[in-house]
Amino acid sequence: MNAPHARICCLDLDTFFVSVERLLDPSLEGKPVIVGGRPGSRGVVTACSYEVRPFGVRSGMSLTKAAELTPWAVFLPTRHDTYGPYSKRVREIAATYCPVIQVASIDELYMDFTGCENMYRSPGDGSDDHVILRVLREITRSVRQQTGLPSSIGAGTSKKMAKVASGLAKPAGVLLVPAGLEARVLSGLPVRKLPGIGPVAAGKLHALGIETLGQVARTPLSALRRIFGAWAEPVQDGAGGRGSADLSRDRPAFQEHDPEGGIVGSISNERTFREDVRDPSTIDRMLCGLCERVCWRARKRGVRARTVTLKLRYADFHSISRSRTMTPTCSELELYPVLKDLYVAGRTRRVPIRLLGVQLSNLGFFDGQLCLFGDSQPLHEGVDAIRARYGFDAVRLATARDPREEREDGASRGRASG
Amino acid sequence: MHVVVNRKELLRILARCQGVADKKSTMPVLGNVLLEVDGTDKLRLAATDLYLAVSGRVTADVDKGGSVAVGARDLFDRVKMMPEGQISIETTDSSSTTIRAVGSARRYTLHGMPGEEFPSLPQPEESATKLELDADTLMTLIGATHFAISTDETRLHLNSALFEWEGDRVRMVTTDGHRLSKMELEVPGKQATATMLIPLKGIQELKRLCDETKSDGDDSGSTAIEMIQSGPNAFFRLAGFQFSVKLVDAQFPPYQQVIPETTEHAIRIPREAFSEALKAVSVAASDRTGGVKLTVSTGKIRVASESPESGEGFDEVDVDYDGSEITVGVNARYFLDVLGAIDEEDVIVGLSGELDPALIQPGKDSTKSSFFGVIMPMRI
Repeated sequence: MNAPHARICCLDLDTFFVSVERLLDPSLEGKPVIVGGRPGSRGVVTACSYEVRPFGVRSGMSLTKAAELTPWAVFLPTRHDTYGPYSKRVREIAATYCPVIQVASIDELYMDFTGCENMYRSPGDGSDDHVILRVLREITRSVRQQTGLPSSIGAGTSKKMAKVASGLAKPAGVLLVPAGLEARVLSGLPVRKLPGIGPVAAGKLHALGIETLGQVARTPLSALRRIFGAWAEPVQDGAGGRGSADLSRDRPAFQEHDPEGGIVGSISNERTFREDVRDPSTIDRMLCGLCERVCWRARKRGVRARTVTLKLRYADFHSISRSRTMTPTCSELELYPVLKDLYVAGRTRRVPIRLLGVQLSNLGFFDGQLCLFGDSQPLHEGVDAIRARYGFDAVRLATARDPREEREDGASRGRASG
Repeated sequence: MHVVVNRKELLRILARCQGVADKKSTMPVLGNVLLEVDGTDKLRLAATDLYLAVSGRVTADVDKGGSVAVGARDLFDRVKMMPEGQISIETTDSSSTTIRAVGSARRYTLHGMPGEEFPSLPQPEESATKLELDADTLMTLIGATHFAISTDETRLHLNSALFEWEGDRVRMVTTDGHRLSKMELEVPGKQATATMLIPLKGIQELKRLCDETKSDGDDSGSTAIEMIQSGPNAFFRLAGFQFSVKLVDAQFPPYQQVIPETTEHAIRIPREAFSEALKAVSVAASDRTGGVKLTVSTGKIRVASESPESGEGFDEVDVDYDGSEITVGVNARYFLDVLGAIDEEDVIVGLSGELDPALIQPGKDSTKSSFFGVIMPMRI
C-alpha cells in the first residue's frame, strides 16, 4: 500500500471579529461593519464585513482611510477579550474531529487529516477525497451550530495549498484541492493569493510582468532570488503547489537543525528561567526536559554522545560547566541520572539559578553492539514516532511535566468531552 | 617523630599507598601518605582517596613518636633513590620531614603537614564477621571476570564486580551491559554467606595487592585473606596490609535472566587457534566498532572483517560442528577477553540466532569451578 499523501486543512473563520459582533448584536446582520475603533482614530481595521470589501476596505488598513472609503459603515472597537472564548470553542470542535491541530491565529487553524480517511468512511462514500470533504463540511456545520460562526475550510497536500484553498472557499465554503491538481488550481490565481507574497513583492513581480502563480512557478529561480532572496525556493514551490505539511507543534525557539548523521560539533539546549529559581522540583523538571530534548535530537541525527556537559548559571551570572564521559548514549533514561549527579556535584552555592543548559558532544554513530539488559531502543523508537507526528510535548517523562499544567490539561479535557 | 626503617620494607608499603593516594583530588591532603608511629616498634603508613584506603606497618626503631603526612608520590620517588639499607625519617615541629640513608650522605627534606590533619581511615566494627579466603581463590575470581567490568563511572552498578559467597561456593560476576563473565569456585569446608558490590577501582587495587604479595612471597603456598564486611565498607587483610573499599550501593543487574539456559548450536573450538584467528582478523576490523563476523558451518568457523576504512580480513579454524550455517557479528575483543580467561584446550561456544547472546564455556566440566562468558552480538 502506498503511504497516504498529506492532507492538511486550513479552517478560517470568516470575518471573525465581525461575525462575533453580529452574534452579540444581531441588528448588525447585513450591515457594513468595520472592527478596529472609531472612524478616523489612530488604529487600524482588524476586521471588516464583506459589505465594505468592494469599496476597498481591508484588514490592516488605517481607520482614517477606511472612514474615507466607507464613511457609512458601522465602526466598532476591537474587544479582544470577547473573541478569545469563541476561538477556543472552535478549536475544541476541531479537536473532536482531528488528532493534530496547529493554531495559526485567533481565527485560523490547521488540521492534519493524513491517513484518517478510513476513520470516517461510511457506506456510500466514494473516494478518500469524498470522505474528507464530507467531514470538513460537517466541521463547518458544527462550528456554525455550536458557535453561530461562519467558517471556511481549504484542504490540500501542504499548508500553503490549504491556506490558499480556504481563501478560495470563502465565504462559508469548503474546497478540497485533490493531490496532483495543485499546480492547475494555482496557476491562474493572482500572485497575492499565495501566503508569503506581500504587496512589495507583488509589485516587483508585476514589474517583471508576472501576474499569476503559474508564471511564478515557471520563472527561473535566479530571477525570483532577486526579489525573495533565500525564500525564492519556498515561494516557487508554493506557487507550484508543493510545500511543508508539517504541523509539528514545536515553538520556533525549539526548531533546531539536526541533520541526520551529523556527528560534527555538539547538540545543546539551554533555557533561562523566567525568574531565578530555587525550587528543586522546578530545577529537576527543567533538567529533565533539557535532557529529553538533547537525547531526542541526538536520535533524530542518528548519533550517540560520549560526553555530556551541564551548564549552570546562578542569579549573579556566575556560571559553571561540568562534564562527564560515559558509554555513548542517546537515551534520556541513561543520561538523566548522570546529569542529576553533575548537578548535585556542581551546585555548590545556595544562590538561585538563572539558567540551565545541557550539551552532548563527542558524537558518534551506534556501533551495532546489542545490550544484555533491557534495550531501550524500541521504547525510544515508539516515542519518536509519536513525536514526529504530534510534536515533542506529546510524550514526556513524568519528571519533566509541570504538575500544574497537568491539572489544567485534565480540566480542559474534561470540559471538551463534557 | 624520628624513626629508622628498612628501605625495602618501606618501599613495599609505600608503593601501595601511593597507588591509592589521590593526587588530583580537590582535597590536597588526599595526595599524602600518613606516617605514624604505632606502639614501640612500628611505623604505620596509610593513604586514602575516601573510597579506597590502604594501610600497612613496617618494623621501626622508634626514637621519637609522632605522625606526619607527606606527598605520597614525592616520598615514594625519594625512597626509591635511596641506597639499600636503613632509612631514617625525622620530622620537625613544622612538619618538615627529612629522610636520610643511614651510613650515607644522601638526604631529602619534604614539606609535610601534621598527621592529625589526615582523615581517619574506616575501621571494621569489632562484631563484624571475619571470612577467610585464599588469595589464589580471589585472584582466580578476579582474573576470570575483571575485564567485563564497565569503565563507565556514571553507571555505578556496572562499574563494579558482584562478589557472592553462598555455602561453600564463592562467585564473582561482572558485566558492562554488553557482555557478562561469571566465575564460581568451590571452597571446601568454608561455609559463609556474603554479597558485596566491589567498585572497579577496588578490584584493580585488590588485584595489585594480591599480585604483589604473591611476587614478594616466598612461594610457601597461598596467602590467606581476611575479609570483613562492615558498614558501607569491605576490608581485606593480607600480608601486613589492610585494604578497605567503599562498596557500591546500587542494584547489580538481574544477571541470571540474561544467561541463556540452552543454545541452539554448540561448537567446540580449539581455544588457541580461535584466539589467534580473532586477533589476526581484528587487526583489519573497523577501529570504531572492533566488529568481526563469525560464520560457522560443518567443520569450520570463519572469522571475517570488513570495513570501508580498513579493508578486509579473513581466517578460518577447524571446529567440531555438524549443523546448519550460522552467522553472527561480534566484538572480537570481548571474545578474546573470555578466551584469555580459560585454560582448557577447547572452548564450547553456544550460539542461537544472530541477535541472541553467545555463551562461551571451557571445553571440560569441573565440579570445583564453573566459568562462562555471555556476549551479546553486534549488528554488522
